[in-house]
Amino acid sequence: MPQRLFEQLNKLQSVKPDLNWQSQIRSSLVTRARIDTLDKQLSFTDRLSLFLMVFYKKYLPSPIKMASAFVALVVISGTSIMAQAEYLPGRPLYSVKRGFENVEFAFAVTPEKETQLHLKHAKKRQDEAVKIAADASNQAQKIENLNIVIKSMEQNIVAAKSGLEIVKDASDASSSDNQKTVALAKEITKSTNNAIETLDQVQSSASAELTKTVDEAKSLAEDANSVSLKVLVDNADQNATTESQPSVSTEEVKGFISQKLERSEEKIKQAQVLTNTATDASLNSKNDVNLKDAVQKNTEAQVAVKEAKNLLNSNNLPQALEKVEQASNITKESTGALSKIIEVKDGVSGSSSDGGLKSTSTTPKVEPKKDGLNILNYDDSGISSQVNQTATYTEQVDLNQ
Amino acid sequence: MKEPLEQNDQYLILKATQGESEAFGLLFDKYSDKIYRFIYYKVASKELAEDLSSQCFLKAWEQIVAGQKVNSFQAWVYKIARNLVVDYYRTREREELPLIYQEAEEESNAPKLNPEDNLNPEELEKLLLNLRSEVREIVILKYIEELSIKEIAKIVDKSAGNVRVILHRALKDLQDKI
Repeated sequence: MPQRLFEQLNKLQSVKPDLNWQSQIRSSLVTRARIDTLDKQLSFTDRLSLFLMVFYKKYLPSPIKMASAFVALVVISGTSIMAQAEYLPGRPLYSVKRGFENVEFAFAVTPEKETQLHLKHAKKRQDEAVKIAADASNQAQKIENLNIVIKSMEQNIVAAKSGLEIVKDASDASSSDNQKTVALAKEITKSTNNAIETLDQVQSSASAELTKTVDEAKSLAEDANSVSLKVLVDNADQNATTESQPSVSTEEVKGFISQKLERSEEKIKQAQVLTNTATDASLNSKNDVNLKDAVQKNTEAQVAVKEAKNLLNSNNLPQALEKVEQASNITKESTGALSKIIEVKDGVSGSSSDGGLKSTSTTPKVEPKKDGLNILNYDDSGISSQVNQTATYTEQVDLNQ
Repeated sequence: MKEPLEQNDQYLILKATQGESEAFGLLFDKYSDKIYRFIYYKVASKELAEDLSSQCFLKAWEQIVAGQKVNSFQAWVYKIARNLVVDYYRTREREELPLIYQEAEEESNAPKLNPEDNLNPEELEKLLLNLRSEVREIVILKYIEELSIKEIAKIVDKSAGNVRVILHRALKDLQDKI
């Protein structure tokens, strides 16, 4: 076919000029071009064209690249949206979600941003914990998932606390730096208050197996709350002395301290309940001493709370916070001691029970020892004596006085 | 595959006018073979093709340096080459009939070729030279230089449809002859 004949014409591409001629002409043309452009300036339009050409070619992606990037963006954002809705740690999309969260840290270039990101993630874990706690399908899986998200939230809160300390240490005396630190402290205070509230909510809807994890998380959140609140109190105090424009109002700080105070009062109430339980569980004289000590501490905590309230009313924020901290620490100690008494009692009742009868307590059991290292001493028969407690142990200070 | 910026005609032209004379050397490297072949198959003389090709690039440079705006260097430089050939024949018209036309007239009968055969370059050249000048340049651009119909249309100042018709007729004529 003629078409085939024509197609063979590309063989004629081999027809080329003489190489010497080519090199000679090239050289003369380049020389001519050099001479002609010696004193020639490019016009503004040509310079602009050159710039735009370089810009477009080098920095603007090709349509294929743009299309690929668009597809990738759609896929990534689609996966991300789907993953965001996932709240169960065992699911594959949950790992994707956490992966995206980790990527976010690559864009957090300052300690403030990083801290804010930790708070944001802590909030996500709280939401997840609430959703998991509300799910009644598989109890064992639920506890496992709650443990994972609460531990993760704990890490975020601890990291946020460290972030605040870094920002605080790095800030100089300038007001902008101070404002940044205060703003961050305020965010952490709010976030930790929410976290504690959520943990209470989760604890009430989950089984007692989770108590230890929740208590630890609450304790760490309280620590972070104390650190951030201290920053806010110092700032409010400083503003009061220098009469400068406050970064955070005294009323706001008072509100935060009141929230902490309320939690302390709640803990004291819980300690009193524990005291009653421990009174029933008291087995011997040493136990009696421990119980007395715990009750004493509880009373001291109540007094500290009362003082904190008075200080707060007189706007003495630093000392009010100090008293709240003091009350919290004392309550923590008394609660610890009381819990041990109750645990031992549970352990005894469990071991002395007949056959398969077990204690209903979910707290870890402490096995009684005969060497006297434990809180309680037992005689060889394993039977311990009950100590009747006087009404003094259960006396409570009226907090509203 | 996207052409790198350093091989882009517009970029090289601007660079050359900016004083980077080597950029025009690169343009010459890119198109000298093509222009030479195009002219060669129009004049059928190696020396003449070299001479006209040199003139073609020189003229192109002169127009660039004079501020001529060039949208497509390829189409533009082929047009210059084409005009140079036309001018050449116009000046020589009265003196003698070019060899190529003499051959075309003498060999009015097309070479006896088998369309299924694999032809050697000499046979292909004969086949090409047997075509009318107007058709030949389009066939060269299409089948040797492998340009698109749109690009050819720009060079020969015809519409794309017209170029297609010419190519179709060229095929038909050839079929009739062989």
